[in-house]
Amino acid sequence: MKPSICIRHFPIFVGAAALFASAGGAVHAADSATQDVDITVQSVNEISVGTAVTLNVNSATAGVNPTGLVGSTYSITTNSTASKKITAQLAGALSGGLALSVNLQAASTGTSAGPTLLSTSPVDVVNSIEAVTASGLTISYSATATVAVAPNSYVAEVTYTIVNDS
Amino acid sequence: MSASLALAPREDGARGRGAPALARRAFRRSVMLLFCVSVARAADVSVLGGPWFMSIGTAHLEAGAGTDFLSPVASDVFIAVLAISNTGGANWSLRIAREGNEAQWPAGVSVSLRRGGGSAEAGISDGLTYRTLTSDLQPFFSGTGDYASVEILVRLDGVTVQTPPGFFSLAIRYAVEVP
Repeated sequence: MKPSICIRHFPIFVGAAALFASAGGAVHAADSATQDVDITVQSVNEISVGTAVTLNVNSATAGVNPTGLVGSTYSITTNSTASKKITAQLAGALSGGLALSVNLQAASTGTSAGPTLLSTSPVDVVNSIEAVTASGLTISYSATATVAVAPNSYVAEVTYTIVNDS
Repeated sequence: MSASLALAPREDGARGRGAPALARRAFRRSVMLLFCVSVARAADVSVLGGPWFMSIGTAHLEAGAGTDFLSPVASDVFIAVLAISNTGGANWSLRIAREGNEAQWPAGVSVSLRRGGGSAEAGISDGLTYRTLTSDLQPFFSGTGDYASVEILVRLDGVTVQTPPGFFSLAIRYAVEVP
């Protein structure tokens, strides 16, 4: 009768083996661990302008106030998803009879406001700037002086700021 | 009753000799299978080091205003030490994948890993060049036996001004497998 007992157990052994094999993977086993990677991309809104320039107001035609022109450049990087603009303002008021205007070339994503008279209040000079990098963009300064302005050297400090385009 | 009659040994012994032999073979096969299962090891991998964090800002521009972010924005930055243990001296392979919300991760930004290759990693194969993480487990490096210190370095590519500011997170999965 032993053979009959063995035969009856045969599927049990095979079944048990198969069960272990399937449960344990048999071919290979694996263990894993994880590590978090967190990245923050900050808002970057950078603008830089060229070195100081000298603007000589010495060109005049009869009957018209003397004027002067000079050029400079600026660079900009912004990764903003919201539209930005550049404003410009004088750090201090100019002497009476002097006026300074500026005209900025827009980057590929912006729109220039054209020649704009500067004051001690910020004025928009480039609008609708989206995420962009650009360098060597032109700045054109134009000054006029009435005949009442005494010949002399005057200093004008212009501040450019990137702000949200409202 | 019919079964017991069918399995009853015949007088000539033919059935009686065949059945025990078959049973013994089956038993041996079963034992062999069980033995195979018992020797399969699940080596352990552990990450020594917490989450890796990086803040990308103005300091990571190539040259200030007018330029984009560095590319790569980070490279050869140490982020973790892996310990591989309980291998029992067996061969193993380490695979890596990224986990997390793919849709939340910024487009074009990739994370790549390589191992440091120091003296503590002698005998390990592959893994010395950067491998970019994907959602699929992919081979990273392999070796034999336990290693207490495998340095992992990271490289981050693809961050540009077109990458929106914000917080982004993923998880690196390290999986060790013993064939």
